Amino acid sequence: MKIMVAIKRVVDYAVKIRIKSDKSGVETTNVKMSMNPFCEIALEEALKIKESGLASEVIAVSMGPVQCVDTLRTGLAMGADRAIHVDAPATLFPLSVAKLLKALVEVEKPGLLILGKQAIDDDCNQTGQMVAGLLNWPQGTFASKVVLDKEKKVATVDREVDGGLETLCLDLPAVLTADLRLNQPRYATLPNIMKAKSKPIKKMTAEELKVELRSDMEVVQVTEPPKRKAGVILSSVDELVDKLKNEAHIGRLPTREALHKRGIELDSVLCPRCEAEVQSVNHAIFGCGEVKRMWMAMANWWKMDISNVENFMGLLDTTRDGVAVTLSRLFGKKRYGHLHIKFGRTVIERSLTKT
Amino acid sequence: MHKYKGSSKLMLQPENTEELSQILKYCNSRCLAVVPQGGNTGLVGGSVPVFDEVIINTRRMNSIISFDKVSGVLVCEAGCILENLISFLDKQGFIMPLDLGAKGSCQIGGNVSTNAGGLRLVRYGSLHGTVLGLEVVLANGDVMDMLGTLRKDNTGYDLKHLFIGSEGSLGIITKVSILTPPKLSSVNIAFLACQDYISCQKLLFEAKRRLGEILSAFEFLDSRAMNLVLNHLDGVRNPLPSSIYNFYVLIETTGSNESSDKEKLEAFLVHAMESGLVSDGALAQDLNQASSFWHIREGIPEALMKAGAVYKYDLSLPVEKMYDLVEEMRIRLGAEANVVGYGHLGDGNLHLNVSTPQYDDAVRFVFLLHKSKNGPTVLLLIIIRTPQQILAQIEPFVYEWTSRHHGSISAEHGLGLMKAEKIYYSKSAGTVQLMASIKKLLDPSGILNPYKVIPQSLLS
Repeated sequence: MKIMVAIKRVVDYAVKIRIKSDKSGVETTNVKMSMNPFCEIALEEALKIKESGLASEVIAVSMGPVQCVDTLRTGLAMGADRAIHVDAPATLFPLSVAKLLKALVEVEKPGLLILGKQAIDDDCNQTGQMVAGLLNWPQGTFASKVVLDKEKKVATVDREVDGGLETLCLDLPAVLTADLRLNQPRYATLPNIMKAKSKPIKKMTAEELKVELRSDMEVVQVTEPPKRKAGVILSSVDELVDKLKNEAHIGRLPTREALHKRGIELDSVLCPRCEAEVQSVNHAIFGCGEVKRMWMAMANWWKMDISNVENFMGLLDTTRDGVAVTLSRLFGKKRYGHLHIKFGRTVIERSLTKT
Repeated sequence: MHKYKGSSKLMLQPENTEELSQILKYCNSRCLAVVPQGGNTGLVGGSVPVFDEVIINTRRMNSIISFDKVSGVLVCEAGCILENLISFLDKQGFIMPLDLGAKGSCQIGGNVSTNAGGLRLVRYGSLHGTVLGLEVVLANGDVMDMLGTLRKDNTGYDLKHLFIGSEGSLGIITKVSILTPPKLSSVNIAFLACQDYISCQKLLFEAKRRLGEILSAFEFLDSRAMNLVLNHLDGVRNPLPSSIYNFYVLIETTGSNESSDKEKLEAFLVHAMESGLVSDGALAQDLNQASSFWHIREGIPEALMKAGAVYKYDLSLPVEKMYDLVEEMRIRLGAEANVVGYGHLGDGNLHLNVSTPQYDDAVRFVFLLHKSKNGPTVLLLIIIRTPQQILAQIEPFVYEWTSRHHGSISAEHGLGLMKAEKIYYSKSAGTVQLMASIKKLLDPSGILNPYKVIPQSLLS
């Protein structure tokens, strides 16, 4: 059985990404380029399978400008047997890559096609799934463990999914995409680098593979993510209460109720703490048992009665003075110089009795 | 280090030269001893207050004053942390001419005053070459402006050199002007295994010839150092796990052309492999791998700390003799201690480290609760003094050996407190006498970093 591994040349993982001044894309001139880390993992897995005697040959393939040959050379130095470079422009979208891979699979007829789950430059995470669809092969994406059974011609794949692991049994031939924990890629050792020099890299074109490199997508603009705003120092408790009520967007907290309203599937909308009531915003930060008791205890310090308060906003209104006292006790070091801020119960109690 | 315990009642953190000058003026007038302190990362106790010295810490003097993109001259205050300067220059497309393991906390003022060497010395030379100017505050508070930014300046005595490497005993450095080389885009790192020390030497010889202009680091470590790192540091992986080798060499090349540099390095490595100098090796394929190779070499001091007590020696020796000392030491100490050798082979600088489970020259306190039949319970304090066996085996042997082979007992760490009295192993009596005269001239009251660098007997 042959194994084909797709390899992408990307901006090195450790390089800080800079946007081109005309916003047409990411700056790649004079930038260190390396093999996509997930592709390294994919290749390592293929090599391991070959070393365990379950495969006869590992073929590394890459598509893009001529520099991709360097990355393929790295793949050969890691241990791939031969490589194919498909000459193509640098900006290929996942569908084009998937079509090229399909064409290559039809030429080489491998029993397994392994890819990285995504490339760290565009983070698309689409190519593996697309090529599986085009080939009509079963797919095991985000693989963290792969076990092959040569007799039965199946691969058992552990996948990292939200909330745990999923184990699939795939009939070969199949498409796998590698997740981070699948393995630890090997280094390119000198003897292997020397051997790699004599390994063949076959050059092909999209025309030879009868693939039309056309895309329905166009990059309009590439910009940096917005810079995180700096925090602000407030001058009074009134301002704080006002910000909490009007600007903090408390309603956007991802409580179970809110998630459910956004159409996210959940096992339950009940509060995971008390499992008695729906986890609304008000329940989470005010109504739920423990939390309520904490507010009650605070109100006790403030010498206030909050038994009639029904929700968080009401609490903010009613206890404005209490909040002011607490904050000034906690942070007003000038007035209460002796106070040690510690969130242990004893310390707070002692300081309260002192003042 | 857990080796030196300082004792001081006061630490001052001046914000600028003026404040520092005022402090020294006052201290000098009252004969108060001071100890200048930067990142406090020194290994020979140079920044430790011995009795009651006032600590003057430069950490708040941390601004970058100017940077000239054409000449590459950086002017900054002494308290700038080396790593911050490295990242500042990185954005400008330049690098610092020195790089060392402690870069995250050491300060440039401390680097200059101790003439720190580090990992790039083989390429960019010592700070005596790259520092173009200094501003120094003398013991009496006078500010000496020698902050030139010129590469060539032959007017009179070049006094800045007195302060580079004087370990704060002649004045406190407040500003530094330093020549920074441009950052070259192509960096390649190879991690190689050699079977014996002769091969390491031959490899260095070959590397200087075949890699000449792009060679930027040539480091070596022995198998014991490698084992320490693998056993004591998390997430470190042996790049060459297939076999155990006696020596490992890390070669870094820095150049301007990725493909031609790589070709050159590969050709060199293939040649080294074919001629049997190198038994195995790995070439970093991306920056992540490169930094994990460096991590092995830079992580040795940390691994040694985790392994227990460590006696550190930083020696300059003729390259061909360097490892003989490690082997002789192993025979001397036998199984009692782990003798580790690593260092900057390219500069003839050996870091000889003796690692033992604990410091045996320490006083130990044992508390016992004694309960007599009818009387009260008594707390007994027993003081155990163990003989300084290991240390007596190492010193003065190491120093004598080094002296006999015309080496230096301090290559890049300085003399500090640890080796002040040992200066004669590397310098003649006349030279030390002249140093003492200079010290007396610049610091007549002897307030600056006392008990360090120069033997006490010459100053009192």
